[in-house]
Amino acid sequence: MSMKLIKDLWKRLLRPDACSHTKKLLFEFVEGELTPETHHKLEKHIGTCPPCLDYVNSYRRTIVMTHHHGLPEEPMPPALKQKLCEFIKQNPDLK
Amino acid sequence: MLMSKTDAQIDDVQLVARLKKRDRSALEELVQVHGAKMYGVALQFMRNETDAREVMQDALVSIWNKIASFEGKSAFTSWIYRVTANAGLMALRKKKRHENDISLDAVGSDDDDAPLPALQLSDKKPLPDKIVMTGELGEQVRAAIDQLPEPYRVAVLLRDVEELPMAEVMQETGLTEPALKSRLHRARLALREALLPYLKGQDIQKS
Repeated sequence: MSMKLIKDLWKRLLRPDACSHTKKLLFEFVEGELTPETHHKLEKHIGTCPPCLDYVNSYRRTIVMTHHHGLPEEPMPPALKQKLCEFIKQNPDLK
Repeated sequence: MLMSKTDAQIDDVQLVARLKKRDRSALEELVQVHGAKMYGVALQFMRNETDAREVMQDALVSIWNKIASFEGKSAFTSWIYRVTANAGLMALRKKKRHENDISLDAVGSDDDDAPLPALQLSDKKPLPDKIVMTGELGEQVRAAIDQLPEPYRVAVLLRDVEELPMAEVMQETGLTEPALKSRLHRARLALREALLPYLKGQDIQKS
């Protein structure tokens, strides 16, 4: 995102359509990629706008949930463990 | 019996030392100790046990060949899961099995702001806390990830599940930074939409 675009967005953050900027800058906001000034302005808006707060929080929680639950919790089949051990013993690349 | 974190870390140090000395039995021990998580990574990429096994085999060969380059700057577990994720990514590329996925063209370009098609979960009603804690939530999250078109699924797995740095995901996927960000953002929005009932009861506003 160019500096000019960020500055333009920053200037408009306190206008009534600030909610649209929450969506536009959501990724950069959550990833901490905005300038401190822009981040602060957006944070200020989000703090006073319940729908934006819910939106940002649900996006953040999605990332957290994805991280915590993204991998299968089922155990490795015992037969697979056995096959891998045989693979290790027999594979010529593992010398 | 559960090992303390310290014991596990000490064991990993010894495991690495044995691997560097070309002790092949250390690889078998690695499968015993870390195989379950490696399998989880491989399975999430490949979606079936047969392909997951091949990914694990490729990962074991990579670990064996690259162990000399492991300097211990990151946790050994993080390193082997990254190697496994990379093996999964390579396998997906090799396999080119896109027939069951929605192609990228079908869902628009990376610059397109349109959301991905709605993901179909088995039950989108809010779950009681007790059930959420028992693992059904995990099933719903994995089901949602599984339904993402492959390029988006890979971005989410590497960045949000494995938590690889953006630069590393760009390197692994060959994507430019804007393309990766766009892909990741759209995938997160699709997951958010699918998981809204589980995110915070009924109080969360839809976009």
